[in-house]
Amino acid sequence: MFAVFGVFGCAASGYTVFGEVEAFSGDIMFSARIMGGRAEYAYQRMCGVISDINKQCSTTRADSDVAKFNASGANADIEVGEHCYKIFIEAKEYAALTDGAYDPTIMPLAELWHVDAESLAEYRPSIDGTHVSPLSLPTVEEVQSALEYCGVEHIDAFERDGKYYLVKSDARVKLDFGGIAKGYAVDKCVEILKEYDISSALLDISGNAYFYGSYIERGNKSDWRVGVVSPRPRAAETLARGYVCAFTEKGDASAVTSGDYMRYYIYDGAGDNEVFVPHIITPSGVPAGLIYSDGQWKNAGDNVISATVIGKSSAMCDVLATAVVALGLADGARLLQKVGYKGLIFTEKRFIIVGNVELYKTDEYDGYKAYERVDDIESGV
Amino acid sequence: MNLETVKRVKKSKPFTVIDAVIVAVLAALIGVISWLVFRAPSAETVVITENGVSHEYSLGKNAEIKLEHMTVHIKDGYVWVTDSDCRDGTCEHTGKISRAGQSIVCLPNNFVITINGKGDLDWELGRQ
Repeated sequence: MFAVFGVFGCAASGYTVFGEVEAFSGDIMFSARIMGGRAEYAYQRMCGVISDINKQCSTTRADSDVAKFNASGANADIEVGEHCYKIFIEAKEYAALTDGAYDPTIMPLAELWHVDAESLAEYRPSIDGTHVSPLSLPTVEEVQSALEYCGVEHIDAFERDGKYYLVKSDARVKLDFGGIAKGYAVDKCVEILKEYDISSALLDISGNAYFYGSYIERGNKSDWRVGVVSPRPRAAETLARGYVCAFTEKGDASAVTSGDYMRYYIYDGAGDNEVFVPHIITPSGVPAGLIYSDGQWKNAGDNVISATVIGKSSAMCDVLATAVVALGLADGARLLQKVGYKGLIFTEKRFIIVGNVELYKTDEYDGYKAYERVDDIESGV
Repeated sequence: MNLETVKRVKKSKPFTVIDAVIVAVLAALIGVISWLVFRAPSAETVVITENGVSHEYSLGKNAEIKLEHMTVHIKDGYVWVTDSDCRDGTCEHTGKISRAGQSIVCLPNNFVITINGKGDLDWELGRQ
């Protein structure tokens, strides 16, 4: 079925284009643009791998390994698939690397804050501007008590006779690979591209992009030109999609953007206190940018609203983008510097460029000019 | 050229009102043409080309377009095809598209849907 499409793709741009198909449950979509080699075979293999990962790691499918683990009691050895096991091992390393700014075990907090996949499907604002508010937000005490059973130290992972197991020390411990599974899947797809002699490709799983090789236009190699969507106004409220900036990337790198304007809901608090609750939860157990004052949760202001991370591993980009939003501008920038990844970090008022990111057409894609540039991390606290 | 003619030309004003009007009209024309050519498209558009004839729709406006061989859906920034009457069904299998540069193609019906974006970017990040 892809053969006909492939022929057309070659005639048009040289790339065989595969439109968005559902990758993971919910609205996580996979699309690809592939040039050279055996594109159709590579695409089908990639779809297979993504499907395997979804079967093992979905939190919304009752039959997934992660769902079984989440429903299990303490000290029960739960057999999981190889992907699920490897993602956990990788996630545990990243949790240590980011000092817990990324944490695959915050599912109980995500549920408490209604930012797990199921709750967000109910509460995220619709494009026509209407929204449904949850009845309440958690109390400070509820957050404190949930923090006690969050953390990768509550989970043990081991191999036995060629099988993989996860076991938890407390029945309330739950996993959510939402901040890493897309990136892990993209990294697996890149391995497949190498097997099929692909010369250039662009893969994307709902915002986890990978630029494989150089961009090729009429036989000439060039850099990929990538736009970063403006985080304001929040996209669910309008379909306005200006770019805050654009950059060029040589290739063989992944780029991921995370922000407070994706997967969020609006809580109608007391009086006219409208609280924007993003899906990213900080190590203190509170969604990024929220503070508790005068007896209620409020938006604090200068939190990270958009973080783009560029580097070799898509899983690591995925994790770091989340971690940067959780950590804030200065600590987020320090983290990227520490691990040697590039990035663009925006708060409501300021932005910082970490590493050698080449901005593209700064007069055309100039949304960033509305933000004050921070050159020195130490002054950006 | 006789002396009279030279005198008349020397006496006449270098620019008349009509000259000024012509200059103004030309300047306005140049302005409008450059605006048409160089303006950034205001938003992504969905271009449906059937047998060489194109129609343009806004990606930001939900629509259901019933055509002879299929139905094109534009909803919440996504475009997809249903009810295709051709045998291979490639257009339906393509799934949903939402980003500039993506297309859905139906060769048997000589039919292409393309999303045109702003500017010359190869990809965009951070759309939800």
